Amino acid sequence: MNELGKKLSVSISIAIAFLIAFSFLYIFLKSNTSDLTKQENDFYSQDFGTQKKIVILGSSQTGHLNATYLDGYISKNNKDYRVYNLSITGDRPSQRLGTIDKLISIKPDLVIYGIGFRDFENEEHENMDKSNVTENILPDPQAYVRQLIKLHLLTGYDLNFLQSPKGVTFTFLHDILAPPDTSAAMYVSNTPFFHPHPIGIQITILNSTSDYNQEKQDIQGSFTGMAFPDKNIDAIALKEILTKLREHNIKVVIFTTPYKKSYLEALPNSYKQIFSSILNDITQQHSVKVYPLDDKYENFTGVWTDYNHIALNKKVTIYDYDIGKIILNETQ
Amino acid sequence: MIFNTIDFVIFFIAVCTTIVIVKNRKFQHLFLLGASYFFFYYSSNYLITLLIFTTIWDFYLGQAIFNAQNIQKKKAILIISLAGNLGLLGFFKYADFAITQFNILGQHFDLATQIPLLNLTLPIGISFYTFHSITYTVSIYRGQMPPAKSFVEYGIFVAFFPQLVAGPILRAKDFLPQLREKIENFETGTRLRQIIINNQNLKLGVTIMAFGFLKKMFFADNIAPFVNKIFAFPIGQDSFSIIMATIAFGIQIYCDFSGYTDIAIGAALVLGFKIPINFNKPYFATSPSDFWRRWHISLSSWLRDYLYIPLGGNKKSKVRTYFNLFVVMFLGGLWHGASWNFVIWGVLHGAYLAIHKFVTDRFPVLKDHRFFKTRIGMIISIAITQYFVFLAWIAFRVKNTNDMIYAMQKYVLIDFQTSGITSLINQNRFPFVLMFLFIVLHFISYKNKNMIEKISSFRLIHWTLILVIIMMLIFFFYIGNPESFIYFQF
Repeated sequence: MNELGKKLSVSISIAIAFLIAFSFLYIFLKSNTSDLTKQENDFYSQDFGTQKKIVILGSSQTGHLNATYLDGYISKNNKDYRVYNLSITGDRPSQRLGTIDKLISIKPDLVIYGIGFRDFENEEHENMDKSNVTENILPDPQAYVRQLIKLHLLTGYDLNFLQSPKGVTFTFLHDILAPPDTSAAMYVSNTPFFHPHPIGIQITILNSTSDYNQEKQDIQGSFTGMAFPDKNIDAIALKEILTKLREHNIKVVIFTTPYKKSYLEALPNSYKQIFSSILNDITQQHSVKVYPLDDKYENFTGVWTDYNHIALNKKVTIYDYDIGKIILNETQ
Repeated sequence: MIFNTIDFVIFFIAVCTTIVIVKNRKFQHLFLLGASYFFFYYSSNYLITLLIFTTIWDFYLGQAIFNAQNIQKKKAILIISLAGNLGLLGFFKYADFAITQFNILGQHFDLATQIPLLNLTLPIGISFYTFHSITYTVSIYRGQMPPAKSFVEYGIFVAFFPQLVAGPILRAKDFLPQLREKIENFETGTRLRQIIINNQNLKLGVTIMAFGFLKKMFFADNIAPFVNKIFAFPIGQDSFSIIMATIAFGIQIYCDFSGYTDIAIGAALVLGFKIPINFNKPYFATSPSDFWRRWHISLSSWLRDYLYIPLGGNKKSKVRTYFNLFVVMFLGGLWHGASWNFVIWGVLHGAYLAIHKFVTDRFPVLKDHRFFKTRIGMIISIAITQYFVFLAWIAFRVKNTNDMIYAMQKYVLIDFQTSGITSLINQNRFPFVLMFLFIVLHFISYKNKNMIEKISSFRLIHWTLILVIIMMLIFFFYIGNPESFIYFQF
């Protein structure tokens, strides 16, 4: 084979290697992640008739609320509402704002929004050395390239599921190597966007002070910083969500999502101050009631799956019960 | 532009394709220079003006040095060149640091004035391209090479994109001749070679790049969260956690930096350029001086040739030699960043080198003793050397002084607390698996010299399979946000 032929063979081999590896990745992720956009479209386009609706918004922290339990609880109290838990894993106000119009279109009677410290955290570590980040005085080719290679623009398909494969890979491996015990699983309906992993059923109990201290140190290492309310894009997004809901006469209440004592002790003071400031703004400027649940179960043992998730477990109903009471209170 | 992004992959394919299609040497050089400037401009925007200024500055001063009639004039022009380069580096890198220290001193002595910080952006790669430029003017001054024939060629040497932002630090006398390589042509005599992408270089270059990406994106980026977790709040951690995090950081920084270098070397090789290796199994070094012959080789050799030897090297008295070692490593530490932790790291290595020199001078029998050439002897030498190397990594990683002192105490004075060991390993299984895997693979590559060259000579189908495995490991464990290379901050 001549030199050109050899070079061509090598180049084709590289391309084939990339195609094979990428194809494996695509198939793996496609079969192990859910298509959120399709789920949202399916949910919001259905005919709800005249059914009165209560929706729960938030991330996985509210995803562990049992809509079936809540349905049963409020119907026992003679309320004719259907509860829909529209929590999304990793959700934050800046992301939720993108679909708020769809939510408004189904005219919920009550929106219960669970927010926590994580909702307003920086997405990247603030200790990252930013001294190399250059302000762009001249035209920025990166911005043009980012637009060009945005996956959903290129192909018309939503390929966001390709963005962070590591989590999916870990979950897959964990399920194979240490399959979780699902005997305490419950039937949960009306939770179209959140699919609780069996790990979320497990109740974790720390056996010693050193385990507790280790958990606290792990938590300390996970904080990425929090911008002040006036520069916090999620705080700004939350206010916009509340404004839009109010403009459409949709009642909304907020509750702060629960955390373990180890988390609350590890929390930086700046977080507490900024979070408190955001809640005050909401209460005063938007006249939205805030129910504080962040430290309600901090000393409870036997309810946590990890430091910021109540277990979605048959034996744990305290969280659902308290949200049920909030619903009853707000629907009087 | 950082290597571990789709932007760079597209850029590199575009550059290679253009070089292959357009077989005109002048165009290729101009295109390579333009591509390198684009590469730099992509993430540095207006700061490209500093790169261009440095290039123009030393190109014309290099010619002036060469044309100067006497040694005093050559020296004067060289000093001007160095002042410009180091002045620029010093201003952008150390001005705010100096102001901060001045303000601290001022507070200590109750002075009323506080100088406001300039909040300068640190231009990416300035430490590297400044040193490239210095090798050029000094080499001309020393009579080791004539000036570059054209601005374009000199511009490519300074801005060559594979090594522009984090090395290896190139020497002008090694790189520039590659741009003027001649080929024999029996019909027309000799002529200057075009940039040619040949099959052998392509396969070897891509293999080196693939392993570079693997080291960076699979090992370094997946070990980083564990290191960040422990060193974010080291106070209160037990010795086992600190030691494991230190080892993890040592592996992380090696994989990060050598991974980057491999991508740089591989990319340069694909284009037909040979740039020097920067790492040679540093964690198998048997002494502090051996470590510096294996770690960041281009920097340590630069410091040796342009600082240590001009200071007198080991040709003066013993005390002067130890002093020279200290100064070189102090400045080497400071080069890494305007922060006391880097200075401490440099001073520690200076101390290691000086003490090692003192011991081997005082007890010359130790230096060539038979025992240290046996397997047990080598293992002991490696273990002792790496113990101190990893101790110094704590200073490199932990900026806060109290945290650093605590972590070093826990590293040296082991507390033997075992209660948290199981929990630490359970919660960080993947990083621990990676650390173990790295140690095994690193040992295998130490025993099998030229492993990369052997892999690149596999049959195409087997070679493709290796690439598939490497890509799958990278893709399946990709975090989502590309982590910057550690050495970009220098």
